Amino acid sequence: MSGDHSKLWPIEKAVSIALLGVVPATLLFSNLVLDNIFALLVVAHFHWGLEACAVDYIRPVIFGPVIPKLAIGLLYAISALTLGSLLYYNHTCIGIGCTFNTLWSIKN
Amino acid sequence: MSREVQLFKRCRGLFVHVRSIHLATVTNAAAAEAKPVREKTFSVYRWNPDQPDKKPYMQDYSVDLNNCGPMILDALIKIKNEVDPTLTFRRSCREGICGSCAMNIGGVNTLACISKIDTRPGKTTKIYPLPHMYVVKDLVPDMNNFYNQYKSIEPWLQRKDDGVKKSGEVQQLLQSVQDRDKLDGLYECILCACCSTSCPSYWWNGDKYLGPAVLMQVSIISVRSHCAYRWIIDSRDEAIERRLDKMRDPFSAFRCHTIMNCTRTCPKGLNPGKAIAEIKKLLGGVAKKPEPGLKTATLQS
Repeated sequence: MSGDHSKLWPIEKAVSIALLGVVPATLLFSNLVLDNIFALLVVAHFHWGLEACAVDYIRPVIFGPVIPKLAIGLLYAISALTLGSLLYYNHTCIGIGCTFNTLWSIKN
Repeated sequence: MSREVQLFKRCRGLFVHVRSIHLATVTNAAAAEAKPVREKTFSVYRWNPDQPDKKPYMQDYSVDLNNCGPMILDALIKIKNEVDPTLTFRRSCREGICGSCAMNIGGVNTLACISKIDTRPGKTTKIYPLPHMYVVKDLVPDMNNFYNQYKSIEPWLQRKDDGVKKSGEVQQLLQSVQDRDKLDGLYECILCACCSTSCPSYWWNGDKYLGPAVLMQVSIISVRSHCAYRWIIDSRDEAIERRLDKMRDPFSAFRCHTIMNCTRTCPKGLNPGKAIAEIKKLLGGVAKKPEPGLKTATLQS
């Protein structure tokens, strides 16, 4: 857990701010590009948040040297799988925006 | 003669004041005798390193508030003087400027000397040492880690010409009034550690990389960032890049999750959370330290 975090920090904050616009935009104008941006930003946002949780809670002082690394590795795997699945869904099915919109049309 | 009269008139207020102070003890004592007893229970954390097999426990002390000063520290001193001399705690200035008596009172980190006793009847006040610190004895926490972290930020002005011998008579540094104003809300910090020890991030990672070689990377969050910001933003300091470079890792400053317990608990009413945010902005390159309003070395030759 060393290295330079100061480059990533502005990106994290920029993604958080961008999501404020991207989420409603994806729901309003559902198209492939917005769906993919939505998938990428949301997964990145979740990943960084969960990574902070893993670093804070699953720490070497309590769990020893191995388990924290496994936890981070598992998180990367889950995030990659989620992103891959969402992109696959966007390209092969109706996409994220349309999926949310269909919730409103379930009655019909 | 008239001068003596005038002098007496001027000092009269002082005489009256002194007299009323003397009378106050008498009248207070008389009032205390007349008033009904106001018993207050303090439940205090006890642990004695000389009895290592005995676990920490809470000990209740009863104090009559009629015969006690208004602050928690008054009650603790009264207990130590009159009830139990083994009760151990730090105190010094008794007016909120030294930071010695920082402890957890009623669930809040604060200074015992400036926190008023809760006088509502039937309320027990619980007093613990600062949370998540190693305890030396009773209410005395081990501050070594904290002080080492403070040491690691090099809390003094650093100038590019520090190694150069100066010959002129005047060695002062200039600072504009506006630049000085930027230190308000920072320089008042008394290093009582209330903020750091209220921070979950500090609890979790405060001793992460103990050891001298890696101490620089210790997650220092509140104290380091808040105190470091005081030196970073000082217009007379020229070591900003080096100061920032020591904090770029994910722990020194970025372990702060903006929980804001620090600002909420600060007994001096400061805002460490904001200072850390300003540091993150400087680290992330979205803010820059402004140029000094006055050329700081103008007076030096």
